[in-house]
Amino acid sequence: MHRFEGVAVPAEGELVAVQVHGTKVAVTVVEGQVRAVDDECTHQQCSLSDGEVEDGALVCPCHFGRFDLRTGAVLDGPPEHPLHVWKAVVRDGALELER
Amino acid sequence: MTRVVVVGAGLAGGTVVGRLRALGHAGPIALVGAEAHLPYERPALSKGYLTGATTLDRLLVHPQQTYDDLGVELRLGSPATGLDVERRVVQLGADELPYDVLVVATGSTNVRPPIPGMDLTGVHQLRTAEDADRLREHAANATTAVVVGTGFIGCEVSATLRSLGLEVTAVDALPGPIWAVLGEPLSGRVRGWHEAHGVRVLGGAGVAALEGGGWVEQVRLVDGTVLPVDLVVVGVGARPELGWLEAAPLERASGGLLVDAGGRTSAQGVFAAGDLAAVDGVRAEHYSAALAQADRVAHAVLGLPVPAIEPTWFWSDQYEHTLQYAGRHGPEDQLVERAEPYTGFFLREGALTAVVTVDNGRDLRRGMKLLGRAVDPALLADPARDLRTVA
Ligand SMILES: Cc1cc2nc3c(=O)[nH]c(=O)nc-3n(C[C@H](O)[C@H](O)[C@H](O)COP(=O)(O)OP(=O)(O)OC[C@H]3O[C@@H](n4cnc5c(N)ncnc54)[C@H](O)[C@@H]3O)c2cc1C
Repeated sequence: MHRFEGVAVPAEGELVAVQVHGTKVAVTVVEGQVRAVDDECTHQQCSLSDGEVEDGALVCPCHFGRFDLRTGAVLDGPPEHPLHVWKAVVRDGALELER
Repeated sequence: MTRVVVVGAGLAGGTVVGRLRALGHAGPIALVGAEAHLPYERPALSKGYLTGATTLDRLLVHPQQTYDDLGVELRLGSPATGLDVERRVVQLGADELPYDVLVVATGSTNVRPPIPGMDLTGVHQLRTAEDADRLREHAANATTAVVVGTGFIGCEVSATLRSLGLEVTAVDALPGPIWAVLGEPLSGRVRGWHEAHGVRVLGGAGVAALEGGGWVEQVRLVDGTVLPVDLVVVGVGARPELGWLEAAPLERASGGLLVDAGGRTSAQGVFAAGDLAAVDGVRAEHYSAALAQADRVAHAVLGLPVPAIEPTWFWSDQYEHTLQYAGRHGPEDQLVERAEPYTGFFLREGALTAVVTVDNGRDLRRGMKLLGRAVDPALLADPARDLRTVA
C-alpha cells in the first residue's frame, strides 16, 4: 500500500499522474470513486494521464484507444492489451494505491 | 456457413477479421495479403520504425496467436490478381478462392511522379516495411537528402532523416508544407518546426529531374537550381490500390470504390474498407478511418445495425510535436486560434467544421464532440475555457 500525502485527489473526470516505485500511474475519479491504472498506453506507450475521461472510460491522447477504468479492458481503438488496474482508495483525505 | 474472404492484409483487413469474430461470425474467414507479413500498422514506417526505435513485431495489428485462436486462414505473400463477381471468386494467379462475402481492403499505392530519373539507385518511396528497411540502411551511409513532397509523409520523413543526422532539403511545388490539407497559417507553423531543426524547406519548387549515373547525384528544380544529394525520398501522394480490380464492375468514386456507411459496394456481397473506400463518395487515407470502417463493415456483413459514422481524424508526429486534426474544413472557413498548447478551430457560418491541435490530444478529443455545432468564437479563443463547456 502506497500512501500519497500532499497529492491532491483529482476532481471528478480530471486526471493526475503519480509515481509508485518508478511506475507512473494515472489517477482519476469517476462518479465519486477513485480509479487508477498504469499510465502507459499498451498500444504505443503514450501517457494516458494526458488523455481524457469519458463515461467511465480513459481515452489515450495519441490514437484514442479507450479503456474501461474499472477493469482496464480495451473498449475500442488500436490497443490489443488491457491496462493494469491499481487498487485505489482515499483514506483520511489522502490517496492510497496498491498494485 | 458464410465464407468471408478479406483481400488486403493491412490495417483494415487485419481489423475486420478480429471484429467479425468478436461480433459472432462463426463461418470460415480467409485473409489474403500481398506482403509476407501479418497485418501491421504503417504510421511508424516514417517515424520510429525508420529510426530503428521500434520493430515490426511491435506494430502488428494482432499477434500470430490471435489469428490462430480466431481460426483465420492466412494466405500471405499471395496477391489477388482478379475478381469475378458473377461466380464469386477471387483469383490468386492460377488459384481461385470462392467467397460468399468479400471484403476489399487493398489500401493505397504510392503515386510515382513522371519525373526523369525516378529509376536511379538511391531514390526511395515509402509504403512497406521493406521500403523503410532500405531507406534506413541507405540513410546510415548518406549525408545529404532531398525529400520531394512535403505532405504528411514527406514532412515526417524529413524530420526522421534530420534526427538521424542527415542534411535535409524538403521541396514541394506547393507554397509550403502540408499546404493542401492545412493551408496558412498552419503550414507556416509546420515549416517553423523544420527550420528550427535545420531542415531547408523550399516551397513553390517543382522538381524537373533527378540526375546521376546509376546512383542519384543531384536534384534539378524547375527554376534551374541544382541540389547535390546522395539520397532522395519521393512522397507525392497515394492512390487506391485497385490494379487487381481493373476488370471488376464495381462503381467508383473519388478514385476509390463507392461504398455506403456499411461498406457495401455496388456488387452483391462485396464490401470495402480502408484507404480505397469512398464512404458516401468521401475517401480518407487515415488510420482512424480504416479502423472505423472495418468495424462498420463487420457489422454490415453480419446484418447488425451499423454504427454511426464518426468524424475522421488523423495525427502526424514530427520532431517533438504531434499534430492532430479532426473534421474537414474548406478554404473559406474562419480560423479561430487559441494559444499554447496550440488549438485551431475552423468555423463555417458559425458552426465548427474542423479542429486542429498541437501536442494536445485531449482538446482534439473535446473539440471533435463540437463538430457541426454552433460555438461562440470568443469562447474558443480563450485558452482558460474548458472545451467541455463552450456549447
Ligand atoms: C509511411 C506511412 C505513414 C503513415 N502515417 C500515418 C499517420 O501518422 N497517421 C495516420 O492517420 N495515417 C498514417 N498513414 C496512413 C495509414 O497507414 C493508412 O491510412 C492505413 O494503413 C490504411 O489502411 P488500409 O488497410 O486501407 O491499407 P494498408 O494498411 O496499406 O493495407 C493494405 C494491404 O493490402 C495489401 N495489398 C495490396 N494489393 C493487394 C492484392 N492485390 N492482394 C492482396 N493484398 C494486397 C498491401 O500489401 C497492404 O498490406 C501512414 C501511411 C504510410 C504509408
